[in-house]
Amino acid sequence: MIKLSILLRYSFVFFCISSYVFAAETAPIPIHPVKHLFDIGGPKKTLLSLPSDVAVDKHRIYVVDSGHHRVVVFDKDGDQELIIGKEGIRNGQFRGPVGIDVDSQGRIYVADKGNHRIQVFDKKGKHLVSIVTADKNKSLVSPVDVTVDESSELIYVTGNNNHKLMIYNFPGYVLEEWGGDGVDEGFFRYPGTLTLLHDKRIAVVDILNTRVQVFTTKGKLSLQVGEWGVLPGQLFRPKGIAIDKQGRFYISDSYMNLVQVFTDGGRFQAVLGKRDKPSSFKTAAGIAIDDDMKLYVAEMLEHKVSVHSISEYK
Amino acid sequence: MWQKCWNIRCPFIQFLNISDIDLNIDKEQSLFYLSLFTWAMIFILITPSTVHARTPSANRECSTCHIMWLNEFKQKDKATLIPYDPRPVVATGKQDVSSTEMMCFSCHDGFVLDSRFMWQKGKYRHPVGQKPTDGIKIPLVDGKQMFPLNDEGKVYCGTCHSAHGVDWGQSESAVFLRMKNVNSSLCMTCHKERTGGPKHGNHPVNKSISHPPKTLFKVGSKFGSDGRVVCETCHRPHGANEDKILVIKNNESDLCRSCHDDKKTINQTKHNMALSNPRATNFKGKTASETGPCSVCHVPHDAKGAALWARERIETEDAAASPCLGCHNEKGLAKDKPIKQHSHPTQVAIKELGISVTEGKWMSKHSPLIDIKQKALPLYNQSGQRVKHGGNVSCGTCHDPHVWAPGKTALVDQSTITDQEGNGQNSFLRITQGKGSDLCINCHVDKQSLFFSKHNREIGFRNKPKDERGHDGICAECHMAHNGKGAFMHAKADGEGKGAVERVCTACHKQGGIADKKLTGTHSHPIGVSMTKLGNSTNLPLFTAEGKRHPDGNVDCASCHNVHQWDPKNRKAMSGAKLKSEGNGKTSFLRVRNTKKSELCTTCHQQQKTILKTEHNLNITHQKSTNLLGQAPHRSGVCGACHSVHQAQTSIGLWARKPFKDNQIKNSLCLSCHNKAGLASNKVPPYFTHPEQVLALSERLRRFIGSKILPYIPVFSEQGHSESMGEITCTSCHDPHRWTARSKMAPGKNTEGTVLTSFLRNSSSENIVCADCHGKDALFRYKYFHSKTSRKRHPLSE
Repeated sequence: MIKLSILLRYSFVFFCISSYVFAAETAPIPIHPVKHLFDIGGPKKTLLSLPSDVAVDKHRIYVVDSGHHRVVVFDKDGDQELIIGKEGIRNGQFRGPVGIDVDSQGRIYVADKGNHRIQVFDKKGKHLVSIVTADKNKSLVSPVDVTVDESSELIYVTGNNNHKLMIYNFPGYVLEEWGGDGVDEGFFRYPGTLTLLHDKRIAVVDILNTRVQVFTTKGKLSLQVGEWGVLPGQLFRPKGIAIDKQGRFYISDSYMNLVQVFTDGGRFQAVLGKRDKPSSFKTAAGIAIDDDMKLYVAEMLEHKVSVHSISEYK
Repeated sequence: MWQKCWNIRCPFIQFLNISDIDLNIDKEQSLFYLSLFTWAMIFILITPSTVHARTPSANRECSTCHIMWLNEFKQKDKATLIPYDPRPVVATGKQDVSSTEMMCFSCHDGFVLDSRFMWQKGKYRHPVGQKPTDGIKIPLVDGKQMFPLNDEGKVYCGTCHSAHGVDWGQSESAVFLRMKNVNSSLCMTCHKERTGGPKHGNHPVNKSISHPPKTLFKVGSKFGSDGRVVCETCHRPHGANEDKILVIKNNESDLCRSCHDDKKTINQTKHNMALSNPRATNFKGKTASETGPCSVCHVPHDAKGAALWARERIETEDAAASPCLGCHNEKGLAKDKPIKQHSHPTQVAIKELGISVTEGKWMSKHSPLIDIKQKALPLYNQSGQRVKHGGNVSCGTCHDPHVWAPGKTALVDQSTITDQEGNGQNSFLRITQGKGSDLCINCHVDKQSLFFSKHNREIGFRNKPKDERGHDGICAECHMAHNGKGAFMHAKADGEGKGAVERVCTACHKQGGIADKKLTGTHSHPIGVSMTKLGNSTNLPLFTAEGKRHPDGNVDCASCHNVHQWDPKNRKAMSGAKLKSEGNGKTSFLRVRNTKKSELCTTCHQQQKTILKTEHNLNITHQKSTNLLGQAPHRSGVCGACHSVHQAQTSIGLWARKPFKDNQIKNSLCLSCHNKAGLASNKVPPYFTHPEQVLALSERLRRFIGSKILPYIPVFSEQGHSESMGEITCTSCHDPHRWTARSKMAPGKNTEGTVLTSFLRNSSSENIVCADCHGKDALFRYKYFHSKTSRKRHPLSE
């Protein structure tokens, strides 16, 4: 009887696995076309060194040139317009900056990680204010990225060493802290870049949890995008995030060297590529998309920002 | 495999704190759980929810780095975003992708951990994909290599790094090294051959420096505890900017100068090979323009002996001088500045100059005579290493090869550097010579008294024409530190003479010379006499034919004279510091004052000391008498009353008095006093001489024939030289320095002698030559020989 029981169990398991295997998706990787336009910087590292993040507005491209401890501003053709800062600890200087954002006024927000602060500059590169990134316990936090919600005058900052999303007001007081060290929903393991959705929800790349978590303005988790793995729709080292006009998520992966597209509902849509192959964005970190559907990818070890044109979606 | 994964101390597992999960389950249970898992998977897949919690998974956590362990790669029916490729990404043999640069950077890019500086500038890193060189010995632990190589025996990332099994304290840097790298201990574990310090041709490690340069910190250089220099001070295993994983470029020797900033002055000198010999290469074939000016002479590893030497050496007993001589020889790079014979000696212990060195501080037993501050100069041991206690003089004692002129750092026109011709103000000297030869005097403190004598050219040669050489201080008048013209590094052409010292002295003390008023004369104390051969000994210096001091050497001028000190008892004596100063037995550059008792003479002529209490000591019998130099005995000394060391009247006996006329020179010396008008007019023997027709055998010859011990009865040639067969003269029977043969004692006053005294050489007739003719009572008839009546009857006297 026992043997029969075991046999039945084996048969059942075999049936289940076979059903799953044969039912699994075998289709090729869906590719959404992207066209490479030009590069800013390159292997000589003279213009850019280890660019970690990029932001765009209507007229300019803002790059965190982290190897040179500065921010470099380019026009949309890739011509250098402005250099902000150098290595140092004074206002207007940086130590290992990572993330960047720009508001509608052209004000530039830089996560000055090594100096534990967010620095704000006007569009001419003049230093406006520095916000010390401390948590509610007044412990210093190393900021990874920053994004600003102009309508509610809030600044969202991801903390590298406390694994939290922190919200500051404009005078620089920390209002709220979300998350913390953990793998469960709402927690982070090394939160990275972040961006505002069109509905003011905030999307945070949760790097070692290999997901993007989307929070409402009240701090409630509303969506998770991506999961652990190397299959389409899965993430291994997610670093950059951008949202297009239709609310699609673009998530870069710095180990798999690609950018994946997810619907506004978080479902995998495609991998950016050419013909039937994913395009290679080597050590892709921060990314940005402008209104013209141009994609800007900071490729750190290539020491460049590559600019691409994303084809229209059918 | 997962069992293995759980048992390791993976940091991600630690992070999740789930290492205590028990996986000891039997097969049946495992099948049950597997089926349950499958159903759960199906359930998850068909559930539309977009928000779900995640539980930790071994598959997940290990594959955070070990990406190729992901099960997705094993499902061939699924297209993965990246291909399954467990092969090495870099040419490191069988290296797993978990320890590739890309995997490391995917976290260490500033977003998770921050090691961006390693990628920021540097493109060089510790080599991987290479087999360790023969010099590298990887230690074994329990029979296994502490730092494993890949299957091909090559270094790969995992050789140094591992995320597993490394017990790191909280305060340690989490770089997943296989052992702590405190003070570069990890580096030194394998590269032990590079840690032996200068003795083994390597730059010193674990040596603290007081002020580690900030410039190095900025480029990621590390110093060990207490500011000690370690491997990572110069090298960065990752993110280095320069070949050899150096922290900064060194093709201009910038790295060297970061610490050795004081050596940068070499650029303004001829020792800057980039200027003086741009094609010169070190033993690695590198020129100054390729690897920096320092590297032509020094390399931090695999150097050839002391000073981390990178060039050929001339091996000598002095290891510290060998590097210098490698270029400064007649075929070397500095062939126009060779170091030849008659140069300042090296490998000489500084204590020989009366200087003791403790903790690098000098203490001289000779107090300086003028206000100079003695400077501690570098001294070296047998291996050529600088030492702080004792030590020997070498090239580096006087010369700093990195500084052309001490204290002068002003830039000079580089086009003129190769034409630099040195003098006492520069020439890489550590101390400028100045008028007072400060560098020489710094060690030769005892020679300072020369300043207060006529041998100081400022005093003695003021009115003389200048030497053809530029004057580089007082010492340079007579000495050249290198390539002198004779013994004692003589700066002038040697004069004439038997002894090496004599030839130096006679360069000036000669007719027409600077000291032509102080000549030694025709008859002077013999030079080149071997004290050993004479059976005497002395504590005065003796010299070899080459002019070197040696206890078995010969008498030379400097045996009696210390040319650097006028008064032997008073270094500060100023009496000789005038051009017209006239010396006497107390001064005259003598080594020992030669007063009444002739202490200097009797230092060697000890047997003649017995004269002191005899009537031949004119201090007793004729105090007011003078010798031909006009010196009374109290000034000339007991010896000087009769003998003159220089300017003597005769070569025999160096007579200082007027010899009496006689065919036999030896007799004429005695008769200069023992005549009717002489000092010893009361002791004038009517018949003072033995018949000259009789030639006697010397005791040496008689001994040779008879093989007996015979009393000393010298016989002489007409010229007064002691011969084997010759005339019997006064001194055949008499020893003018000894009153009695039996005793050293003497009455100390004018006394009438007997057969046992009277300066007779022998107190017995036994075997004396006299007895051969005059019978066994010859001696007792001693007065017979000088008696007018007795002598007349002798047939030979007629």
